[in-house]
Amino acid sequence: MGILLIITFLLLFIAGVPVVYAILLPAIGYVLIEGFPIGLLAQRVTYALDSFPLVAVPIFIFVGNLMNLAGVTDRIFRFADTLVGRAPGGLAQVNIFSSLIFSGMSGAALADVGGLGKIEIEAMRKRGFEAPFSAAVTAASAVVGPIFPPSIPLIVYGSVTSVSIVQLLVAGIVPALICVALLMVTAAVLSLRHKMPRASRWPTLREVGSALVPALPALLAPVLMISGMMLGLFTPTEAAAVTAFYVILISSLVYRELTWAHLRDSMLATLKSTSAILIIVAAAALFGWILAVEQVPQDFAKMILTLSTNPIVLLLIANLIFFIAGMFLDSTTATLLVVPVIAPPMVLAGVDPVHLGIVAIFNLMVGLLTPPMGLSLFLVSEIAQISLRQLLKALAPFYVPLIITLGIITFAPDLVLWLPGFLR
Amino acid sequence: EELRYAHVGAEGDIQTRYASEAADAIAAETDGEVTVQVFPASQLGGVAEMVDGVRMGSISMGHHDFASLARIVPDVAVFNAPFIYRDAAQALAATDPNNSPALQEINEKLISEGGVRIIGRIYRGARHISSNFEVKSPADLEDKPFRAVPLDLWVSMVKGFGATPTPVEVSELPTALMTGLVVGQENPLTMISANKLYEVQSHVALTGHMHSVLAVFVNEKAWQGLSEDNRAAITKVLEEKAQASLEWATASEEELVAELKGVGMTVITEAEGLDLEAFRKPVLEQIRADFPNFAPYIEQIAEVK
Amino acid sequence: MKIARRFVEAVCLLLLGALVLVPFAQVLLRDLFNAPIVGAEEFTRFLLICVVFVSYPLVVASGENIVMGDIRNALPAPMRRILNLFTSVAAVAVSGLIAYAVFATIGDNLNNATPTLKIPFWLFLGATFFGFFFAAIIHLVHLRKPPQKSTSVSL
Ligand code: NA
Ligand code: NA
Repeated sequence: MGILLIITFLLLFIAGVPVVYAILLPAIGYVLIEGFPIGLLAQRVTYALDSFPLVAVPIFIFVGNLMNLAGVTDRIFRFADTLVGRAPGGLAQVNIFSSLIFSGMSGAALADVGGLGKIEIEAMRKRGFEAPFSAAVTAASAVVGPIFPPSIPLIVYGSVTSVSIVQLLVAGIVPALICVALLMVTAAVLSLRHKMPRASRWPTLREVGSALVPALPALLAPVLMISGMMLGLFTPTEAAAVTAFYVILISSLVYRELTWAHLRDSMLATLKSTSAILIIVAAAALFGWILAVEQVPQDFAKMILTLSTNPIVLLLIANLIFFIAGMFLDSTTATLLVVPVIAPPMVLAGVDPVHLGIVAIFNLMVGLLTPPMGLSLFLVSEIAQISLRQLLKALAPFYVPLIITLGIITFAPDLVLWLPGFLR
Repeated sequence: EELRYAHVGAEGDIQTRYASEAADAIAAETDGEVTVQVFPASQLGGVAEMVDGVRMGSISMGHHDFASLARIVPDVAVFNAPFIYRDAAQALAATDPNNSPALQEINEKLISEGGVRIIGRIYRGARHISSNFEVKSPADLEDKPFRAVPLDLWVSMVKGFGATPTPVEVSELPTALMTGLVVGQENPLTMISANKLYEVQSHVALTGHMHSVLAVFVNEKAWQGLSEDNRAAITKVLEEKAQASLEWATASEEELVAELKGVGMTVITEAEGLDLEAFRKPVLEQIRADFPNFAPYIEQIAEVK
Repeated sequence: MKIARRFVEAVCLLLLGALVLVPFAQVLLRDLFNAPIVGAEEFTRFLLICVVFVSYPLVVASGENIVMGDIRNALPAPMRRILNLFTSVAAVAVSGLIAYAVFATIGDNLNNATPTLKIPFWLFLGATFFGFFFAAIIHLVHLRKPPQKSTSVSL
C-alpha cells in the first residue's frame, strides 16, 4: 500500500498536478479506503505548521524580497563588482559570491534561480558575457547558497528531523566557502581561456572605500544573524526577525529608499511564496504519517541496514538517494518526503545528523542541476532563453568543483562539524 | 485486534523499553488476540498530535507526561506538579488507575470529556536541575534565563525557582545551553546523559523536584471494543511493567550519577549544601497561587500510602 | 470579488506584520529587559498557521501553486487538455474534501486550546477551513481556464 501511494504521487506530480494536490490526493484516498477518521486530514494538515522553527521561513522570504526592492541587493552587487570586477571572470565572480548569501532565502531552490538568477543573468549579459556562460554560472552558484546561512532548506531539514538548526546553519559555512572558492577558480580559468569581459583596471582604495560605505550596513546583515545565533542572543527564528528589522531600519533610515508601497509589495509577495511552500509542508505531514503507519520508513531502514552498517557506505547510499531525489523534486518537497525515510537508519548506524543534513541539502541542490530531469536546468535555460544543450555544454566544467565539494562534504565530516563543534 | 501505540520517546529511554516490552507481553498474555504496533520517536507526530490522535481514534493508544492531557481536562496536570510526592514508590501508587482516588476521579472526566482513558503509567525517574554554575538554592538562579517546557505548569515552577522561564525546543537545548541563551534546565538524568548535556553543563543539583510519571492512555472506543478478558490481560501487563519501570529507573539513577561524575560533572546533593526546602517552599507557593484547582487533589495524593 | 481579495490581503498583511514583530519584540524584551513575554512562541506559531492558510486562496487565485509542468508542456495538445481538465477537477475535489474534513472536525475541538495562551483550536482549524474552502471555490470558478502557470515552478 505504501509503495502504491508513492507511485500515485509520482505519476500525478509528473502529469503536472500542483505538488500539494499530488500529495493530498493519494493520502485522502488512503484515509477513506482504510476507514481512518477524517479528522486525521484536518489534524495533520493543520498541526504540521505548529512549529516555531518554520516561522523563520516567511521571515527570511520577507527579508529577501525587501532587500531586492529596497536597493540593498543592488549595493552589495555594486560593491562586489567594484572589488572583484577586474579579476578574471569579473561579474561572474560577483554572481557566484552573492549567491552565497542570497540563495537559500526563498525556500525553493528554483525560486532562488527564478528571482535572483534572472537579475544576475541580465547583468552579465549587459556586460557582454555570452548567455550560456552567464546561465551556467548562475545555475552552478545557486547550489551553494542553501548550505550557507540564511537557508530555508536547512531550517526545513532541522524541523523534520529535530536536529539543531543553529548547528546546521553553522556547519554549512566552511564547506560553502570552499565550494565558492572552487567555483570562482573555475570561472576565472574559463574566462581567461575565452577572454571574457572584465573591468579595465583594479579599483583604487578610495573607490573601494566609497563602494564599501553604502554596502557595509547591508553586508553586516548576515554577520549580525550568524554572530547573534552563535552568541546565544537569539534562536534561528528570532535571528530572522532581527534581520528583518535591521533591513527595514537601514533601507529606510540609511538608504532612504524604502517606501510603504515597497513594504506592502514585498509583504504580499512573501505571503504568496510562504503559502505555496508551507502548504506543501502541511500536505507532506499527512503523507508522511500514512507512510509511517504503513511502516515504509521502518522497512526501508531494515533494508538499508542489511546492505551495510558502515557509516561511509551508508553516506554514499544517502548521497545517491538524495541526488536522485533532487533530480525530480524541488528541495523542500524532497526534504519533506525523503529525509524522514533516509535519516533514521543512517543516524542509528552512527552518521552524525548535522553532517547528514549538509550532505542531504547539497546533494538535493546538485541533483536539481543534473539531466535528464534537473528542474533547475529547465528554469535557467528558459530564463536565459537558450537551449538545454547550450546550457549543459557551458555548465559541464562547473560540475567539477561541485563534485569535489560533494566529496569533501561526504568524506571530511570533521571539516563540516568543526564550527558547530564550538556549540556542542 | 491491532492497536497503534504511539509515543515520542527516543531509542534507549526507559519509556521506549516500556512500550516495546509491554507490546510483546500483551500479545503473549492475550494469546495473540490483541497485537500492539509501537510507533516510537514521534513517528506519528508530536505530543499534541498524538494526544488528539488518540482522542479521535486515528491512534489507539500512547503515553506522555500527565500534563499533555491537560488539553482535555486541565486538572490532570496535577500529577506532574513538583514536590507533591514523598518518593518514587508513592508517586507510582498515587497514579495507579485501579487504586488512586485522585486518578480515578480525573479519569472519569477524561473519558466523558475526551473519550480517552488512562490505563497505566511509567516511572521515568526524578527530574533534576543542571546548570553551568553551582546551584544550591533559588538565590543562585535569581532572574537568570532558565529553560521551561512550554506548559503553564513548568512556567509556574521555573518562576518558583526564582528564574526567568524561557522556552527552548529540545533539539536546540544543547546549543542554547552552550551559547547561554538559557543558563540551566531540568530533566531526568537519563535525558541529561542521552542528550550529552554534560558536554555543555558543569553542575547537576539533585533536586528531584518532580517525579516524572508518564500516563499510558487509550482511546475509549478502542478500549471498549476489546473483550473483558483482553482488557484485564492488558491491565495486568501494564501494572507489571509499571513496577518494572520503577526498578529500571531506580537502578539506573545510581549508575547515571556515577556516569555523570565520571564525565566531569559536579553533583550537588544535600550533603554538599543543596537546600531543598528553599526550593520546595516558593515553588509550592507559586503552584498554589497559579493552580488553585489542584489543592483537593494534592491532598488526596498526600494521603496515598 | 475585488473587495474580497483586498480584504483578505489586508488581513494577511496584518498577520505577517505581527509574525515578524512578535519574535523581534521577544528578543528585545528578553535580552535587554530580562522580561520575556510568556507564550510569545505559541502565539507566533498560531500566526504562522493563519498566515499560510488564510493567504492560500491568494496563491490559487494567481495560479502560483508549485507545479512541475515541463513534461505536460511537451505533450501533444489533446493530451495536455485532458490533463489540464483532470488537474482542475482534482484540485476542486481535494481542496473541497479537506475543507469538509476540517469543518466536520471543528465541532470536536471546541474545548481544545493551546497550553499557555488558551488560544482555542477552532481558530486554527478555522484558518485551515478558510484556506481550502475558498481554494475549492476559486478552482471551481477557474475550472476551464486555470491561471496556473505551467513552467517548471512558478513563484
Ligand atoms: Na549566482
Ligand atoms: Na544562503
